[in-house]
Amino acid sequence: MTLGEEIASLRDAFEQGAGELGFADTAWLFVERVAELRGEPGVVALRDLLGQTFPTLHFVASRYLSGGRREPVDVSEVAELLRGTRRVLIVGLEAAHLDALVLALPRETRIGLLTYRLLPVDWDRVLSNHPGRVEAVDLTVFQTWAGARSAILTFTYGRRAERVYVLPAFARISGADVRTQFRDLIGWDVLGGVPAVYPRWLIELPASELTRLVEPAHMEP
Amino acid sequence: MPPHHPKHRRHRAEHFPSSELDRALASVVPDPSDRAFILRCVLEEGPAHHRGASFAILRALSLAIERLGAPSKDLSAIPTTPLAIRLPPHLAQTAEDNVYPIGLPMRALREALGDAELEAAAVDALCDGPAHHALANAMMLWLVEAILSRVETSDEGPAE
Repeated sequence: MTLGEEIASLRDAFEQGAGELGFADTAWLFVERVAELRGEPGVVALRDLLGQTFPTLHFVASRYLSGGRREPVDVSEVAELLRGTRRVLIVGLEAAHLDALVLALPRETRIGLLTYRLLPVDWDRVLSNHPGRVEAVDLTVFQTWAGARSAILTFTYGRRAERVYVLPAFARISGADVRTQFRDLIGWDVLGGVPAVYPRWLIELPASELTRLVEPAHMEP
Repeated sequence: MPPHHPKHRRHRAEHFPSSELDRALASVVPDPSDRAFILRCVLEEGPAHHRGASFAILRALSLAIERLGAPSKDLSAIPTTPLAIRLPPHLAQTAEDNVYPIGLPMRALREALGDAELEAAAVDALCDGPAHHALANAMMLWLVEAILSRVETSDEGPAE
């Protein structure tokens, strides 16, 4: 099997990982593992063969090849914004960020995870990582989480000027009605830049759809 | 307003300066995060002409308070009608914490209208409609209460 065939065969595994761990988290996981096992040529192949289908992978592989490495999740700003919040509804999934958030928030803050995603997800498996701590929230009843002490938190994937890239799930729940039902709609950038290839799986929204946007210190233009 | 962290981007256009209104609201809504939520709904959500009109009237009322200068009486004893967060009716009953952190004050309204039926109709009209409308109404009435309170304090003269 050639290196190209080997890398191409990872497609389904990446898709499953992206569904249950998140696009950014899975991209770093694959890039780091492939770099470890197949070196830089493996990361180049990953970027060129799978990057067109998974733009976050293209972005992360490109960043890795130019010397960038995964940075520890900094949850401090988000935790500060959520101080005093009773319920946080997470829209989207990024495992490393969710893990950090769960540890950072006080036990009395309820954490819900919107169980809506374009990719197939075994939600029981995802939720079993946080037993009794993260609750499944169906799209049809997410407004039961609304309130003056409630916030929506969604992951974002780069910003170009005043437009951010988000998962379609956020667009499903961020109408004019919802904006006045939740105290805050917070975006948390997990990528640090916009993928160079067309960002399929994501949609572009005005940043003004968020009441707050937390970005890493280093954002690629 | 809550402390502004320089790294947090606040994107929705802030066309209307809210610091005076935040100050005017502080005696009624002590939590800065609650005030920020209310002011966002009034000044940043809904149609532009509503946001502009609400800002203009609220600012004029807060100016009247500033000009009066006299200290306000404690407004916390004024009875209020809760303002429910607008939710789909079938979900509203299962939602927790489903009222806004400001209610509709009833003292001036009762005195001005003087009729239970009229009062009920007015409360219905003031609380109905989209959130930015109802919250602006509540804010306006609280500022009227604050003005009346200062006028009363001023009429009573200095305490002996």
